[in-house]
Amino acid sequence: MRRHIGVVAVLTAITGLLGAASAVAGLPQDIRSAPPDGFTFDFGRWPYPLNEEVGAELQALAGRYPNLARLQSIAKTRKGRDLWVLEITNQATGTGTSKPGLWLDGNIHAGELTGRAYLQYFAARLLYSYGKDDLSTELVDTRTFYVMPVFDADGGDLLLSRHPAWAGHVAGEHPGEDLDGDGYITQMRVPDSSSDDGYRTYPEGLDPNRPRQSAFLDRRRRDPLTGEREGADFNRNWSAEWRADEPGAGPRPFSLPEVAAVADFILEHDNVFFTYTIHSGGGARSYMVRPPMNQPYDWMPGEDHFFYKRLGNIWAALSKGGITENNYYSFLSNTSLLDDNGEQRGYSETMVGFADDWAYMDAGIHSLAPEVNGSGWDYDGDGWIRPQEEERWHREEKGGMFDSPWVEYDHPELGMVEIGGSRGIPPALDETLQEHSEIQYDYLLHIASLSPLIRVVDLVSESLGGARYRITASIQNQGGVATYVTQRAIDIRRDKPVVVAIDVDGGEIVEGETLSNIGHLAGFIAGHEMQAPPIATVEWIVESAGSGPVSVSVEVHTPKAGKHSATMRIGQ
Amino acid sequence: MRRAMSTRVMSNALTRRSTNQLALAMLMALALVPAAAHAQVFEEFVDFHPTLEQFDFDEWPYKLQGPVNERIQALARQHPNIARAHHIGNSQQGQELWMLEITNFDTGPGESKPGLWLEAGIHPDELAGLPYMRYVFERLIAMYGQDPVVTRLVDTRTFYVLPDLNPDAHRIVLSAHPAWPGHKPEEHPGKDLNGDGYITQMRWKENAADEEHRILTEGQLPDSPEHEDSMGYVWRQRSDTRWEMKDRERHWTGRREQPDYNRQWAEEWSAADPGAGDYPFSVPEVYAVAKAITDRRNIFFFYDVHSANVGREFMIRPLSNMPYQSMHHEDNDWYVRLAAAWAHISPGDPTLSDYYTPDGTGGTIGGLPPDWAYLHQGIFGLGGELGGTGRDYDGNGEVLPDELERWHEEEMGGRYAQPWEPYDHPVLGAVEIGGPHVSSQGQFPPAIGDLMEDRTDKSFKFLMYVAGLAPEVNIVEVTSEVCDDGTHRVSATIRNEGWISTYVTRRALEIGGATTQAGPGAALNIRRREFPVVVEIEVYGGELVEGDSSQDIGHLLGKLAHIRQWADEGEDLPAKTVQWRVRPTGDGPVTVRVRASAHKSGSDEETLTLGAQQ
Repeated sequence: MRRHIGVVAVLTAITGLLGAASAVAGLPQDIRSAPPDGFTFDFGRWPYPLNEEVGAELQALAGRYPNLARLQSIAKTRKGRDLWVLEITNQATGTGTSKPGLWLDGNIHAGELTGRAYLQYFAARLLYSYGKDDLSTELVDTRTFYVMPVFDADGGDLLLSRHPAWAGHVAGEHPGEDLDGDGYITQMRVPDSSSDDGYRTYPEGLDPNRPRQSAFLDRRRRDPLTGEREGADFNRNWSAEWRADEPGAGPRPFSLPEVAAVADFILEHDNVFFTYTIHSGGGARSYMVRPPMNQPYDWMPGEDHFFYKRLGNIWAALSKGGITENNYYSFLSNTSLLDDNGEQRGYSETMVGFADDWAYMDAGIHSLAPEVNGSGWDYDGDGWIRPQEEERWHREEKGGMFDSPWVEYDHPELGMVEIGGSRGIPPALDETLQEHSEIQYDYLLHIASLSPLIRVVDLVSESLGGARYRITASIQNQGGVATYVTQRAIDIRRDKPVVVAIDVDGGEIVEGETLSNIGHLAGFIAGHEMQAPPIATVEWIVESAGSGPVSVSVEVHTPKAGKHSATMRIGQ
Repeated sequence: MRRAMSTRVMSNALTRRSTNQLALAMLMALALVPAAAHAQVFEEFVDFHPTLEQFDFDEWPYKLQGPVNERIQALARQHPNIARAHHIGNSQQGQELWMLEITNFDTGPGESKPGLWLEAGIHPDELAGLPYMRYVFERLIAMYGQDPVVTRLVDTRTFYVLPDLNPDAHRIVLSAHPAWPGHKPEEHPGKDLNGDGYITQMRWKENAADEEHRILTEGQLPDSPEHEDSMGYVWRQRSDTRWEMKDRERHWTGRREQPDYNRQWAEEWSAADPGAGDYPFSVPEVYAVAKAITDRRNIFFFYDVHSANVGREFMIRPLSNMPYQSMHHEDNDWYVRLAAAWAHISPGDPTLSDYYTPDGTGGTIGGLPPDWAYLHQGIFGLGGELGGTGRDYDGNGEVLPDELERWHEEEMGGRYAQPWEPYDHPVLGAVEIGGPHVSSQGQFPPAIGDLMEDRTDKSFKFLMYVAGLAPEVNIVEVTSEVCDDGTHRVSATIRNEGWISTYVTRRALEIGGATTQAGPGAALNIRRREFPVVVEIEVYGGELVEGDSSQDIGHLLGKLAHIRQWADEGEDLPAKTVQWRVRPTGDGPVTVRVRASAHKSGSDEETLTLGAQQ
């Protein structure tokens, strides 16, 4: 009996709260949500769509929701593909740049394809949920989402067209040949009793001795034959702590046109307070990477560190224990580095030139990068998905459907061989794609709800006798983080203070400024440690010009906290 | 639209014990990924519906030490197979400190299994930990045999539960009002002027036109703000409903402040710290607890519950005084994982170190027990800061005083307050008496009711999750083959089936120095805090001709540490194989009994009759 009463009490408290503090998804008990009835998404699609089709699907969304979504191509890739960005916000409540913005990108690394699926899901669900789900609706009204599902469009597309049976396949772009004509470039094997599994294997093709290295992300420091440097890595090409000798650094920061285009876009849209770059390198089940990648946490101002601590707890709650860490502390990164004696190095500098470090260090905004491949289950619950667990998932859940059967083939060089085996286990698909898409949807909405959000909460006038009135405006940051977003932004002078403007029609200002800088306002997550006040008041004295009504309009604005205004009539 | 919060929680279906089940052991050895290795998956616990005798979530004031000690002894009498009561010392005022040891004694004595030390009550004004700990032992005992998770853990782990480390201070707090048992007027500031049984507040207005009331503790006069209790703590009224312990009264008395039981532990102890006391462990209660812990070398985890109602339910991890990188990264990784588990079980709740604050970073205080456990004992230590009261209504991550009061009003129906009644005060004149039942040293409002039920449940599940991570030495197989000279070659494969390595922390390896260190005294390394796996063999009907009857095989990695090997898939680091040669001494069958054990990793035993296998 008592238990029921308890549940009712809790539910009442939660609903009451959602009603009161509308855009706050601050209650972790309540942040796992289900999509509205009728929402569908094809989680079983493999291969994922190529960039052009992603663009077409985003265009279709923009067509279906013209007031909420706009598509633009922000640049061309080196091979002439478009970098598609879908801007999602309710245009009726203001333009995109007049609201706090979130930048979301996927597939920054060619081989880490899942991001394009996660973000297609995110965009489709957010638009579908408008008007159906309170939190989604509120956030589309008051925030702006810039969604770029495909970052390395050239590299990603190359991987998604690697088999002749797949759309967009261009012979000659891929190593090997489909000798048996089954549509897949797989493996060849010949019996070899000296090998553990009884076979010697080669990649399928006429030249069995071609090197097996990845053609897409060559992290070798130099080509042994030509002496050439390695190609640039999209996630080592940013200016944060950039070093010329970092593998994949490229000749200079932003040397990749795609990286330069994204950096420019984010800086030009100075409403962006947060960036989210989806990796899916595998290994961890639900791993969230945070800045500073190359430094201990005590390097970061305490307030900024606590934002990541807080989000880490939310991520753990949503993802059933997923961890949030940087490379400096990461077990994985550290153990891959050995000292001169072959011992693990422990905490140390790792790698530089990351996108998330750039966002935090050089743009002064918050940034996170999930490392969520989504392929396989964490069967043993250790937080990692090892290759065996991926293979087990493939066997048990997927019926081994991504293997080709072994067929005999008379190879011109090797003689009789068998051709078949893995066509490459896909990343997140079906239930794993759904689970990770849903978790990230809730997580991103939670982060959006923590943006700074500036509001004129009160505008009052007081008659001073004669034709004079005292006008008082109360300005509040109703968002989670402060209007400066990060202490880092203040350090590097990228913070923009709150500016209050007054416009008087039918009278004039006799005391007070038409435009005033009121500094910064703290957000609600600062708690009692807040570094700035949460609320400020501005006063003016206004004198009416004649006997007609006076209209006073107060507008408050700072790029990362949005724009808001209030109007009142006095003197009637 | 919104899905109800999942009730699934982590548990740890760890491996089955295969003691004397050779067939099962062999089967598991064959499978590369043992089917039973599904530890740490999120699975259902069986709900615990305590009887009033077991647990009354509405009880307030909480039980005094006497009845708690009686309950501990009664449980030990009623459940001799799984519970034993230990009198580990006395408080300064002579109250007995009883600790309840819970394990299935049929599967071996407590010290033969990985142990968890769970305690609460270190600070006088933090009470909620007391019922949290009573809840732990009540649920462990009540659900043994009912809940598969609890049953398996009681079979294979040992829980040492001490519900109150500081009963003297809590006796004062829990007898704050005349209506409560054990009340002694001289121990409390103020007086119950109106005879309603509670020492509440008086309010009055200096001038009738004033908007604000003046407020004072009932029975106090405006010029008597400080109060010393019988423990020697000095309390100062900070606001109408809040008191604070005045820990620096030496500024006006010239004497040192009372020892703080939470600054008394030897780790980074500094005589200059406020509350440090005369020397580490100078407080008898703290000494008794430290002795009880260091006497039991099976303890791998230390947990100390605080309950300052200043935040959400949060965990405090070592190092309190140094950045994370001062800790070996393998140990840090454990805390990072544990923090994620806590944030999942108690959704969004944090795990903090005192070193990091929103204002910046830096060294703070020494002498804290979780740091002592980690740095000096080489085991994992953790503190809970579990207020058990109030809600974080605004989602800012903290439960602030106004949220406590809102919770008391809205969810508790204001039941811990008295209505305001007029009273004719001899000095102040007409006043009103009423308001919250605040006592100088106590929390307000108390942790109680449905919220308490919810939070004790989460806290319990978290502790069971930690218990499930313990190292577990297991003999996966014993085999033999006959050699040409008629001797038998016997092999035993020992594996750590647990999640933590047998050394528990890397810190443990550092404390004692290298175990391979040569020279006099090496074997008597009294600093040593890591206990390697020892494998012993007994031969019946034969004799050992090769291999030692007892050998130290070093350490076996746990599954968590094993992750660092993930780049080298297939390496079998958590297991080692030991070999012997055995010669029959008669015509009868030769039988060997192999035993593997480590202080913090339990033990396992297998028997094999040689030559009997096909």
